[in-house]
Amino acid sequence: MMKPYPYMDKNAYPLPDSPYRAAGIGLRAKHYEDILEEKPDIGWIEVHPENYFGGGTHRRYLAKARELYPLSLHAVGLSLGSDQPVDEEHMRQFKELIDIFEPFQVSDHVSWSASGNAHLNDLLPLPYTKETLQRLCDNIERVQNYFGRKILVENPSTYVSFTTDEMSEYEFMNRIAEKAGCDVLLDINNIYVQSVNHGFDPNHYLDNIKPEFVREMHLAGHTEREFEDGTILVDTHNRPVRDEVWALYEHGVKRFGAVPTLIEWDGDIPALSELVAQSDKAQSFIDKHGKSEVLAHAAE
Amino acid sequence: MRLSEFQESFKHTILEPDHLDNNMFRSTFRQDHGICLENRMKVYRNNIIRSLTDAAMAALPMTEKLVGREFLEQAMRAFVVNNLPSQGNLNLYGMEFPDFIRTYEPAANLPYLQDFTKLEWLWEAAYYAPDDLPLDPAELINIPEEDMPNLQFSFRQSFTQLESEYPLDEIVDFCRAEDQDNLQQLQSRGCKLMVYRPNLKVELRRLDDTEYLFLCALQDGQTIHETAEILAAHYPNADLTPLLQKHLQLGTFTSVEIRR
Repeated sequence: MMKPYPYMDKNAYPLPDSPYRAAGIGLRAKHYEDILEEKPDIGWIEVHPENYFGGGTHRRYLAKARELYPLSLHAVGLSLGSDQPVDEEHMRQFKELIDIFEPFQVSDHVSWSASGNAHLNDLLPLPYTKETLQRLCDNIERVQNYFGRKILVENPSTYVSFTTDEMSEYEFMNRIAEKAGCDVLLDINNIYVQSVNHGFDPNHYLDNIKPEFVREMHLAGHTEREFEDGTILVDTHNRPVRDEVWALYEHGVKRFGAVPTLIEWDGDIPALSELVAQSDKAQSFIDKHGKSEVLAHAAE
Repeated sequence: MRLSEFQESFKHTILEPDHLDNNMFRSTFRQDHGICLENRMKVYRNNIIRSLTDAAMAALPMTEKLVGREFLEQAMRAFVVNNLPSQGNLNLYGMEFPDFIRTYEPAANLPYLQDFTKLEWLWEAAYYAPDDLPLDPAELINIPEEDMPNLQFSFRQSFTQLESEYPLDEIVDFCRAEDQDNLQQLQSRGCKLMVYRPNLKVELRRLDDTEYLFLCALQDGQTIHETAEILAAHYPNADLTPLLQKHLQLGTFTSVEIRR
C-alpha cells in the first residue's frame, strides 16, 4: 500500500513496476530536467535513497521521474558489514521511500562504513571470515525483515586484501545469498578492478558465482592511480565503461542472462545522451546473448 | 583480530596513518602483491576525505566563488578530519562548518565568512526541508472578526531568518553577478534576511527591521494582537496589516489557528 505523497500524479498509475528493457541508468540531480523532458528509451532508473531522505526538492523530481520509469533504490549507507546493528533511523527513512516509490529492486553493498559513532562514507573492505559472514547476514536479515522484502547485495571494489580470509570473495558472495536469503548484485567493473589490484582471473570469479543468485549487474568507469611502486585501479564512476569491462560483461550476460543492468556515473557527469548511449551498448549485449526469462524475475 | 577491533583500527588509520605501524593490525593485510600497504591505504583515506569534503562543499557554491576552491577545500578538509559524520545521511553534513570557520586561523581576516556560510547552509536546509503547502489566505475569510487578534500562524518548515552585521545580501548579489569587480564597494551595514522554499526553489528575501521583528514575534508563537503590541513598542508607526498581507501572499505560513 503506497503511503500518500501529494507530489506523485495518481493518474500516472499503475506506475511502471518492472523494466521492459534490461539496461538502465543512474539518475543524478544534473539530469532531472533533461530526463523529464527527453524521456529517453531506457529500461529503468536508479538512485541512492540517502539523497532523498527527509523530503524536499530532490524527492519532488524523483516523483516525476518515477511516473515514467521503474526504479531501483541502491543504498550506500546501511553499512551491512559493520560489527554493529544497522542504524534504525536509516532503515526507517529508507522504508519510507520504499513505501512511496515502490522500487522493483532494493540493494546495498558487501562492505562497511560505520564504526562506533563515525560514518566513513566509503564502501570499506571486509575480511572474508565466518565471523564477518555471520555479522553481515544478521544485518541483511534485519533489513529484509524491516523492509518486508528481499534485498540484493553488491560485491565491492577493494584496494587491500587479507591474510585472515577464510574463503574467496565469490564463495563469500554465494554463501551470503544462501544464508541470508538475499540476491546478488554483481558489479562487473568492481570484479575487473579487483582482479588487477589483487591479481586474479576475473572470468574465474564470474564462473564461480551461482547464476540463480544474480538478479542485477552494474557497469561503471574506473581510474588508474599511479604510485611509485605501481598502479591501483580505483572505482571512480567518472568515465565510460572500459573495453576490458565490456568484455567481462559479455561473459556475464552469457552466464547470468538478461538481468537488469545499470550504467553508474557519479563524478564528472556527462550529458544525458552519453549515459543513454552506454545503456544502449549494454542493451545490445543483452539482446545478443541474454535469456529474457531472467529479467522477469527482477520484479519478484 | 575480531571484526570490531579491525574496523576500529581501520578508522583510526584513516585519521592517523601512523596507526598502520601497529603490528597486529598490519598483519591482517596481504602484502605480497605489487603496491605497498601504505599506498593502498592512501586510496581509502583519499576516497573518504575527498567524498566527505565534496559532500559538505556542495552546500557552499557561493562561498567557493568568494574565497576560491583551493582555500575552501583546505578549510573543509580540516573540518572533515575533526568532524566525521555520525550517520549515513549526508544531506546536511557540514552544517557546523560556520562555527568551525570562525576559529580557523587562515580565515581570520574574513570575518563575514561565518555568517555567510551559515546563510548558505540555511539555503541547503530549506532545499531538503519536508514539503508542505502554503496557507490559503481564503481560510482567514471565515474567521470571525473577534477572533482575529488571537490568530497564531505556523511557518513553512523551510522558513528561517538570519540577522548579520555584514551585508550578506550584497555578497549574494555579487556572487550571482556576471561582472564581479564590485565587491570592494559593499556597504558597511548589517542585514536581516529570510530564507524559505515556496515550491521547488529556495528564495532569499531582505527584511527591514519592522518586518524582521514581526516575523520573529509570530514565529515565537505570539498572536496577532501580541505581535502588534511588540511592534508598537519598538516602532510606534508600524502597520501590521500590510505585513500580514504580504506574507500571506508569499506563502510564508502553512497554517493558522485561534488561541483560545
